This record gives sequence, structure tokens and C-alpha cells, in this order.
Amino acid sequence: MRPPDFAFRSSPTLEEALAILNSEDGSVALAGGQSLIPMMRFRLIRPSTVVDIGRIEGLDSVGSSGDMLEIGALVTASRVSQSPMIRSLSPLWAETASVIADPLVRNLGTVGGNLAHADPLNDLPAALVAARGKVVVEGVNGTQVIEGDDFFVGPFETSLRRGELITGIRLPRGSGGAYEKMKRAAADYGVAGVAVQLTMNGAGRVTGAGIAVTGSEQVATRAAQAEAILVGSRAGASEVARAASATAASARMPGDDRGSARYKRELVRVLAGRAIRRATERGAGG
Amino acid sequence: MKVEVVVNGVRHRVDCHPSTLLVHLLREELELTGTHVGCDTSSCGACTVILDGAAVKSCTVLAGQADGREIETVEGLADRGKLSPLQQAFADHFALQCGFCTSGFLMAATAFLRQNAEPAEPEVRKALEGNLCRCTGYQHIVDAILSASGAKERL
Repeated sequence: MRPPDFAFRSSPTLEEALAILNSEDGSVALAGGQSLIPMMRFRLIRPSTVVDIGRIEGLDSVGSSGDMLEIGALVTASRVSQSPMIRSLSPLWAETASVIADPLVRNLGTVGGNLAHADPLNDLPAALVAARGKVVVEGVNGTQVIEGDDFFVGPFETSLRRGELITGIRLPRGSGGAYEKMKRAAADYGVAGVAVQLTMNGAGRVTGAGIAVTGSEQVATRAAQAEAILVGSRAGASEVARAASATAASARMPGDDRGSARYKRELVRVLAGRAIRRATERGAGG
Repeated sequence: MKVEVVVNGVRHRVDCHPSTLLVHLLREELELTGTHVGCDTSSCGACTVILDGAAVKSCTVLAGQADGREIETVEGLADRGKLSPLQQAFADHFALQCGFCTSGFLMAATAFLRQNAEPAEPEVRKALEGNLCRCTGYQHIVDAILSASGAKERL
């Protein structure tokens, strides 16, 4: 099954890609294509022009600057999961990337594409929101740095406007992160996931907490109440249990063929507890 | 549009439609039909090829994305009729029944073993998550890959 007809433009530079996306109605950016190509084949979208941004130089780097980890939009999920720098500076991101789809998809699917697609079942949005990361967006009118919370508007909808592309993300570095995900089968979509990023002081108290849920009715639901329960505590058993329940209460889980809403709420509670416990262990370890 | 690819070491120039997927380019333009179309929905991995060193689903790559890149398909594994060690291991371990998924498994496992020459069994299973076998022959496939690897023992 081939996609419907379109014009293919391979763009060597960011400036040219932005110009085409801004000027041509019905044009879309193609990065790894692991979401876009299936959507085209299923006739969910029918772009008239596909702009291949996959060869643009400078968008596939991994680096750090001060307390921030910087990941280019074209870095693949495989690379995020394997990069020694990301594994060390953001175990949350490395772990989240390692459970996206399957290894074949991870070899092509990119950070920018995963975020821009904004599927409520995509894993990286929750990792971005939990880590309090920022999205760097380039457009014909210049550069913007957008908070993860403000980037996701709704299912499959972001604050990206016409003629804008994600060029990378910035993540505060931190060892106290973990991602827990439940899948029914190896290569299936997830049922739910919970991303947790904690910062802890030398006395073992939580000084900052980020928790976000994958698979709710919105993209990457922040569990603000659960975060508030953990901040200032030592993340002991009772706080973890209360925070896990608060995480489940904050996420509106849709009932569907992967489980009822009630089942998924309970699943989120269990996943949140596991993720918070592992994030606490990692955060305390340095 | 014009696309130039190197497939199993041989350079090809193909004139194809932009909506051509890599799997169509291989099967229909180059007549390399060892790469199979299974689910046709990016789920099963029967179409797995190695693109610039990484195993990918060729049904989810546009021909234009493959332009200028190197591709390895199952036809490139055997050397003048002699099966690769992994192919031989699949035969020795009865790691196929109908055989439809086999070329995809061979390519995914070939790329995996190049990166991880002595994998533990759980690593092999993780590496195969993108490939489906409807004859449910996973156990023999895992056995074959382990025997072809440097791994001395199964975990």
C-alpha cells in the first residue's frame, strides 16, 4: 500500500526547509518518518509536498552546556537510549527512548518527530514534561524556546505554527529519573506510562519533582498534586503511595480496547509507584 | 524522481515515483524479492533491511530517504552460494517453518550481532521485538542466533 501522491523535496538546509514549509500549502516535514509514513499510507493525512529534513546538518548532535543537556531534533530514539552522555545526564530520557515502539522503529524515529507528532501514547512527551525540558523551535521569524508544558496543546496538536520546526530540546541534567511503561505485546502501543524526575539534596530530601503520564486523554498530563506531595519529603513509603494515587487521580485515562478507564487508572497508580521508587534510588545515588 | 542506492555492494540508479517505498524499490524496481511485504502496516518486520548499518522496516522508508545510502538485503548474506553463519544456524536449528518472516529476522539479527557479538538470551529477545513470526517459532530463532553468536552459554 503506497501513500497517495505527493511531491518529494529533500532539503539540505534548515532555511530552505522552513521556506518551503511556510510557503507551500499542504507541505509537511519528514524526519525519520516512523509516524508520518504510516499516517500517509492509512490516508489519515494527504500532504501535497513532503519536505525531507533528515539530511539537514547540525540537527543530530548530543551535547551539554552548563546544567543543560542538549539533544538535536534528528537524534534517533536508538541513539538517545545508547548515548553515554544521555544515559549519565538524563537516565529518564535514555530509559524512555529504550522502550519506544521496537528496535527497528527506534533506528529511524527521531526526538523531534516523536514530540511534534504529539500522540498521547508517544513516550517522549511525558519524559519532556517530567524533566521540565524545553523545545527549541526555529521558524521563519526566528528562534523560540518553549516549555514542555506549553508545547503540547492536545492530542496530535502542538504549539508549532506553519513554517516552524523543532531543532532540538534542552533538558536540565539529573540522575533521579525513571520511566515505567506497560505494553500488552512487544511491538504494540503502550497502555500507559509514567515519567518521573526528582532532584534530591544531600540529606535525601526531594527538592524538585516532575511527574507526567503517557496515555491519558491529553498529551503528557502533569501530576501536579503528586509532585507537591513529594517535594520536601524523603520519598518514604507513605509519600510514594500517596503520590502514586495522586498521579492516578490526575490523569483522565480513556477506556478502549487496551483496557477500561478504571483498569488504566489502577495501572497508572502502580507504574507511578515503581517509577517514583526507582527515581528516588537513582537520585539518592548522585 | 531519480534515486541512487547501493544494494549489497552494487550501485543502482532508479527512476521512480515519490510515493515509492524502499520495499517496493527493492522488490519491483530491482527485483530483489527476498525482502517481503508482510503486514504492510509497519508492524511485522518481514521487510527488515539494513540501511547504513541499522536494521529498519523498508515499508516505512520512502525511496527518496534512501537516496545515496547503502542497503543490505537477505540476498547479500550468502557468499557465492555459501550461507552466512547465521543463515546456516537458522537451517540447523529449524528456525523457520513457512519462512515468510525469515529474511526480516535474518537482517535484524545480522545487524544486532554486529553490534553485540556475544549477547545474552534476553538481549536477543529484546532485539527481535520488531519482528513477528506467525508460526510462533521464536524459541528456535533465539537458539539459532545464540549459536551463531560468540555466546558460549545461554542465561
